[in-house]
Amino acid sequence: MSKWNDFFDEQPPIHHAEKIMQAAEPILAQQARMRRRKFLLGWVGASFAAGLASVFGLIFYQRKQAENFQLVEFIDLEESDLAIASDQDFDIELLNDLDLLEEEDV
Amino acid sequence: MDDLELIKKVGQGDRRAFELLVRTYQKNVYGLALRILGSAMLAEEVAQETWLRVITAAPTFEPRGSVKSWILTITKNQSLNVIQKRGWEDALPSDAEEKIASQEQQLEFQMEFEQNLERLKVAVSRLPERQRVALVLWMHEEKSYSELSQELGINVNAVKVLLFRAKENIQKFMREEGT
Repeated sequence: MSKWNDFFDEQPPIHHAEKIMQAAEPILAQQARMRRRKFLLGWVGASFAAGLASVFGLIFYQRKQAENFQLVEFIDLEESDLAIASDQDFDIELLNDLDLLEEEDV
Repeated sequence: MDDLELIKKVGQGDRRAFELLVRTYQKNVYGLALRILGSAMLAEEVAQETWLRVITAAPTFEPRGSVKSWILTITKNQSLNVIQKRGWEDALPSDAEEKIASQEQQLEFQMEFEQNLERLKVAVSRLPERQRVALVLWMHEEKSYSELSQELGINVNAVKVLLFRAKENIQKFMREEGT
């Protein structure tokens, strides 16, 4: 800066700073409001994004669960088929019903 | 808290930070405006306008230089705007004075001027407007003649004449005041 710093320093009139603060009040208040609004929007946005992520996560999880259930059902079916297949009496009844049993087979 | 942190807080509407900044630099802002404008009333108005601009520009402030220089640049620009809107009180140096400009004189103030700051303040305040503004900008920013000419929108020769005449008038004032 200038070597003439003392030359440029001048004590302003009384209440100079107070007048400035009074004039500045509305602008400062508006900037504080804008800051709060920004913060709130940010918070809402982040919450919304988190919520959306949770919903999609849940949907994905449920689909995965559904796939696993179908697999289990399929396996169960096979096992029950095996159970049926091992039951000879039932086999005979079935074959009788279907007229597939030869005399020598009985 | 340093000035950069203060400015950041001012940009967020922090009243206390702003008040601290005002109380720190109000003498510099008011003083520069007074030296340029030569009027206490105008200097107060310009100082207030400067501080309001500081608040509105604070959110986008980029620390290229110091906060103080930034605030004083706003002060200077606001002061010059007042003069330009109103119109200069005095005329540019005439072509007849170009002879002075052709002499490569280094503008210097004698040491005794620095020792008589209060008298110097009075002497500067009594200068014709263009001489006063040219001299104050030269003293404050230590700019070259060509930089001053660009700032004031006049040619380099006119700047040299203004500064030369300003120095002459101050010396005359100091002699008359019995320095």
